[in-house]
Amino acid sequence: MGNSMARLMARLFGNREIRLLMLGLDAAGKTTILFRLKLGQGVTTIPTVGFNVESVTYKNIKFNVWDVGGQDKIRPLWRHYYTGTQGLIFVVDAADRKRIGEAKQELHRIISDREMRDCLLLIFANKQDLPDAMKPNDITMALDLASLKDRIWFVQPSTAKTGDGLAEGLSWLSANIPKETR
Amino acid sequence: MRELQTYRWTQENMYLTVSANDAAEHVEYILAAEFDVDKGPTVKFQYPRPIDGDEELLAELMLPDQAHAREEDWTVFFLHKRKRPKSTGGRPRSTSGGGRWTGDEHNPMLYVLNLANTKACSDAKRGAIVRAMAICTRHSFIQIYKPILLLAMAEYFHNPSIDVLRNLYQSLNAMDISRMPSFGPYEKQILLSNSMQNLFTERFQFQQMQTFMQSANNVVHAHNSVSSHDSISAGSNKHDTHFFESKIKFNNLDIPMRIPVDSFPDCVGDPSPILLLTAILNTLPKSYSVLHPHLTTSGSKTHPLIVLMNGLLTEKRVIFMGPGRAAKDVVDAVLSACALVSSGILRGFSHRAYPYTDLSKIDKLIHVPGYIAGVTNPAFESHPSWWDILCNIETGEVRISKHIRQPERVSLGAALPASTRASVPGDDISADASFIQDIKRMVLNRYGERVIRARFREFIGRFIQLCAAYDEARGVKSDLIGSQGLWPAIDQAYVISGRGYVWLDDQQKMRDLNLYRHVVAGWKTTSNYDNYIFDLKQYGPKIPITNIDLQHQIDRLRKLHLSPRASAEIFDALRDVVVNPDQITQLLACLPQSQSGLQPLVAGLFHTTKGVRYAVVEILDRIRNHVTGRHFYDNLGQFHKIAFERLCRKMVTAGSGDEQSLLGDVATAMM
Repeated sequence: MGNSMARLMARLFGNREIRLLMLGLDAAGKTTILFRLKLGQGVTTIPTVGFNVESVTYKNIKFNVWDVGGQDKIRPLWRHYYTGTQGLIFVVDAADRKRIGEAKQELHRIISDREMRDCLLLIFANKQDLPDAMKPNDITMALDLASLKDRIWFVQPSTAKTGDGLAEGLSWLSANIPKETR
Repeated sequence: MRELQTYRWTQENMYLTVSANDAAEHVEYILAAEFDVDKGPTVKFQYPRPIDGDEELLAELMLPDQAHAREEDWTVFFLHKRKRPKSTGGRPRSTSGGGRWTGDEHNPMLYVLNLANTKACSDAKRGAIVRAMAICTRHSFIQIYKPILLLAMAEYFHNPSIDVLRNLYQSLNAMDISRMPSFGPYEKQILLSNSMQNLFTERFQFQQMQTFMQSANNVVHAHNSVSSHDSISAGSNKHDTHFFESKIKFNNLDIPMRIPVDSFPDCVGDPSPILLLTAILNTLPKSYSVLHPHLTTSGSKTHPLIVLMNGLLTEKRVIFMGPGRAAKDVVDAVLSACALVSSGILRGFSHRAYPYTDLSKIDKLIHVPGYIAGVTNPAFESHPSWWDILCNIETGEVRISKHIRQPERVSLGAALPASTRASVPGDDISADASFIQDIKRMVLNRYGERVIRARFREFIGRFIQLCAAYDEARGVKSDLIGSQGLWPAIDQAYVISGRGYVWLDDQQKMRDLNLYRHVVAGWKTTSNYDNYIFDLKQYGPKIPITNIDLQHQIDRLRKLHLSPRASAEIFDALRDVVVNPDQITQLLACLPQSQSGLQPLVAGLFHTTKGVRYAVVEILDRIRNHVTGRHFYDNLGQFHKIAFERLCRKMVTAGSGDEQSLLGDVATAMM
């Protein structure tokens, strides 16, 4: 019953499926976010060898989330995941002030790629539970987001361990994804 | 232009070249790698010397995607030996082979078996350790090393030092296979297609004696005569001659090694094709929207398995993708595909195989013509320009890329004149359809893999015969025909006419030829075709029987309803031609178990003409006294054995001088 209802809804409102790519420096919390979204609970993660991919349904939208390992040696592989990506989730360890410059550099490299020119940009300022975590405004400055032209972007504070802020992030994405998604 | 690029690529192979090494060691390198939480994949140790090449790529191959999500995973990859050694310290030996891999015994490739383990560990930074260890060997039967690699890995987790690698290296290279028998092409074919466990048992006599002696020693030492006594008889009887048994001493453990003696170069690691075939056969075939003359032989309704086989034969770029699967699953799919399409007849597929690869190699991979690669990363699906065929081992879908390069419109001439009845594509009696039906039945009813492989061997054999028949029908010059081909240009040299594949009628033949003419044209441009022609010229002069196409005549007996006169002709010819042991071996190779062994011959015991029955008795008698043939005879049913023996007695009582010698044979055989 519930299933057929869902199918009916899907037919009425269109079966929306969004391809998201989640990137960021190593140990920023990407895999924890992925499994928090997928399973609704915190898991202890270990470093990702290669990638994880999961689909998460939220408000009738199916998000296919790709989570790719962040060690600097494997960052050149990120570009192979760009094709067809509608939204980029860039995860920043808000408490790691030493590497925020490195994060900025990687972010600008990604979104300057031709294949990424139309995608939404959601930034999770993650690890807000840590005492010295930077607030969204600091992150916006540090990543130099003001310089982005023709880009829809948003910084969302989050704590992956507890799940705080993640739903808000997805809401922002679903509200801003163009309606005619095929 | 593209050709040039790839040539250079293979020269300075990104998949790591190693300098040729003269020492004929079993194992040339042992490697250890680790996923460093800060740096990514890193090679930790290489023993006895470092591989000159890109260490990062090596480490990435050893730590497959999602290794973190599994406790254990296996990958296989190959290291190509540099063909032309650098002037410094190079040895001239490795230059053999010329432009293409042609040398047979000198295999310029190292096979790498790699084990990756992930262990949760609270002491480690970020909670886990991911380590891998690999054995680089010159043997294609890498599966024998799996148990010992597991042991070594367990030890390495306790003690991550190069000593473990050294110890492993020395143990592996101490293995003695000097007494391993070798087999000729026909003998190998017999081993491959028959499951009898005592074939060629006489070649293993030394080994049996050794087992016997050891068990005898055990009796003395163990003072447990009852149980040990059993093991003596068991040991000497139960040895399956498809394997040579050796052992390796590792950390005071004796690890038995069973080495397959019927293995061929493209059969790497004893892969199981069942999972792949089940996946493909269980999917409802969709109709293809992208057509390609080399692939979709029956139009949009071509069966996916046929598309895959055609793609492998004509060397398209094929990816086996297993999203969410362990790397070992895609490795198995790639190695199975190589083994099935090679069937021990064609070769060169594993040289272009990348059983496990990931995104980091893609820029170079896509330039390798006809690569066969295994990936777990679903990202490959969204890049159809990277591949020609993508086989999803999870869903069984075989997709043709919309970017596949269509062959240039080479005029193959008009289609061959077909008979009045127009061919109906998708007609269910086509040979392809019956192949699919057979494989489906076999997989569904859980037939042994040997039988399934035999059916593929038949398919490949038929394809080659079909090529020759096509060339002949078109009247073009062909490498497949002629004194060094499958059959001579004129069959006057034959004691009985007829050659090649046996079609039920001409109409079907013409239809098959027309159906396959583009695949034939595609195949002729491939390197596995060149290899085949090379082999044909090499082995041609060594074939014992050249004045009759044995396979053809046996197939006629098997498939056609022959008149008594026609079958009499065949049996008489066989009696005259198949005499010495080598010739009998060749005959036996045409009579595999999967096609009911000696059945086509023994049917002749009931021929209407007495003389023919006697001819069959003579042939069977030779087979029974033949060192390998006796096992075929043993497998006959009682009914045929009795018929044979009765005829023997009759011949003896009829007793002409000619048959006197036979009498002697029969008498000794009966004793």
